[in-house]
Amino acid sequence: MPESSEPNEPSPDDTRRSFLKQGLKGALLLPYATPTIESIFLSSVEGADDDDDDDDDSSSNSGNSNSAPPSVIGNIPPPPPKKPKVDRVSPDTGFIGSKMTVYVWGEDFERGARVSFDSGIAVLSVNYENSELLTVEIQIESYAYEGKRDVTVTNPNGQSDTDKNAFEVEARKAPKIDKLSPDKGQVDSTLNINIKGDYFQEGFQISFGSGVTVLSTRFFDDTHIGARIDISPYAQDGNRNVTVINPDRQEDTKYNAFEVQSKSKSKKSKKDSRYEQDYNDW
Amino acid sequence: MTFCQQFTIAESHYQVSTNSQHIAEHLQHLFAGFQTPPQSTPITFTIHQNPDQTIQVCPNLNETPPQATIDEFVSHFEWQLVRSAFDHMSFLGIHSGGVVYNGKTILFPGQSGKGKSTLTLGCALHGWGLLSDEMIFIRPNTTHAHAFPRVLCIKNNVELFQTLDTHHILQQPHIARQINNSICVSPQALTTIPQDHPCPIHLIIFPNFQPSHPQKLMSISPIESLTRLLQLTYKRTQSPQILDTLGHIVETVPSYELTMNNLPDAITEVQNLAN
Amino acid sequence: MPHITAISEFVPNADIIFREVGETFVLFDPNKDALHTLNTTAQFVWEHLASPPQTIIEKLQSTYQVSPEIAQHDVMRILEQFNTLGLIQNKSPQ
Repeated sequence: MPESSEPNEPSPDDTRRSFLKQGLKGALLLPYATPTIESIFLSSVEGADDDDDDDDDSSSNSGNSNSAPPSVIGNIPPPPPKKPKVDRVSPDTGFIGSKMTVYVWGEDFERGARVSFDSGIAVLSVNYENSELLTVEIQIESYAYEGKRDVTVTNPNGQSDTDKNAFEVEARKAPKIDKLSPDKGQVDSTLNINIKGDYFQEGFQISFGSGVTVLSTRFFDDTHIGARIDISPYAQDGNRNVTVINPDRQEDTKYNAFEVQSKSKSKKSKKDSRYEQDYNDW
Repeated sequence: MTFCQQFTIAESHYQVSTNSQHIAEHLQHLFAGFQTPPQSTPITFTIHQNPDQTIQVCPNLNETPPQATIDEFVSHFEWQLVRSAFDHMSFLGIHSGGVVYNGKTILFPGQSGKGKSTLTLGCALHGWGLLSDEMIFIRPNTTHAHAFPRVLCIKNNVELFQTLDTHHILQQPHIARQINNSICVSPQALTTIPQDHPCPIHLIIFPNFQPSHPQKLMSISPIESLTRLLQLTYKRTQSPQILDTLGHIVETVPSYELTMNNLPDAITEVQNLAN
Repeated sequence: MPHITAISEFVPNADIIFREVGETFVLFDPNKDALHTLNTTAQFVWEHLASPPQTIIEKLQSTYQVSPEIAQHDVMRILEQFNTLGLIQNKSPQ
């Protein structure tokens, strides 16, 4: 929208006005909207301050609530000869909800030293190996939040050291199925299936759909699990979805991942024979 | 015989003594989630039940009903202590449920009747960590949430939780008690988060229980979320940091409104959001 | 309530808390327990409260595509609204 009149007052700092003087009227001015203000009076809406009970902020004087706490004077320990030093923690990551052993490496640890891992990690036991190593059993609570934690070692004499951000809490990821091998099986047969993927957890469950019974499972590592299955003679042939569910209830389904074949249809392929070794490995 | 209990609510410490075993058991149930020993000199109360069954409190609390039944009295007493603790705390208090799932802290802010207690208890029975079904404290300088593990008061039918209560927690009389037309569930049987454990907030879901409506999840803008949270913040007019604290939270945490009509589906929806 | 003239000078009421939240500018008045949401132009006026209304009008014209008449009308109107809502006070009361 072009301006109808030039402003009388020069504005040397205003780039837009300098452009206007050069004739580029309205080119760099922002679109205008009528200034508006919307108001909400919170007390007139159902509000927290009056919720549940009569609320009289002027009262609720409960007597001695403003009294200052007494100062605490304890026995001052004798000066310790040495202060511990924390170098590193290994492993330095753990999943939420897991129980694990962690090695704390450093110097001048004393027998009876305590270890703390900050929020959401409970220390179950500390074993003094030597002045440079503590073995610590920890439980990462189910409500721990993701992120780094400080690790502090405190000797019985009260001296302590903290390794900042030494340990990281990670959330478990959902499982991911990449491939099955073999990825087909004949009706009325029993076979071992290897499942490759990621983020599998011990204690998983797996299903192949109707007519296929999972006899046993095996956890190799978080990228490789196995299932021994029995395909019923009456199982319908065709593609099946395969679902893996971790103990933390996260799951993944690979669609049409496994084919049930009728006896007349099945052929042994080179690919299948390649994985027969995996059967023997069970 | 004198029964004595010590507990901590937010930043206030209390010691309560009573000559009544019945009152002591009620208080034990109501304050089960606050059994942190006081870190400083506690505020002391003595509750005396007279032979004629009237109850006296010393020091006296506001509007203590003189002829109250034990149920009425302990409910009133518990609420007065909670209000007193709120009055003296430096945290912001928001009417909200809160749970922790897979390391993620999820808040369910809402007024009474919106379903926050129902959704919170449902999640807690599912094994999730429990912050509170009623009030979440926010530390202004960190914007982290802190638990308020009060008894969970359910006004709706307990049958809502049947399929989720696989450990029959709600059938245990020392866990779930009827007090004044509500079922009060002690948090001691659930996975509770300690009051002093800071929980960075990851998700805000405003529940809206509508039995005759289809389930619906709707994203909410930061300004809408701020407006709703402000309405639910206790003593908001006395907290100069309120806009900074809530403003930072709504700018960094996604907010949704969940219209729900059944609990298992609602929990699945929340779980999907948190994953 | 102070009368608004072209040369009045205002300051925000000392109790008012304001902040940008997302892309929205909000004011919270603890005295009235009220939350006010300003659009971009109203925010512009708020941020220039230290200037007299006439200066705000000129600055508005140099920033937005708006005629002098509309700018004058709207600035005075929004200042009146700020005033009515108790959000501003005279810098130097007469």
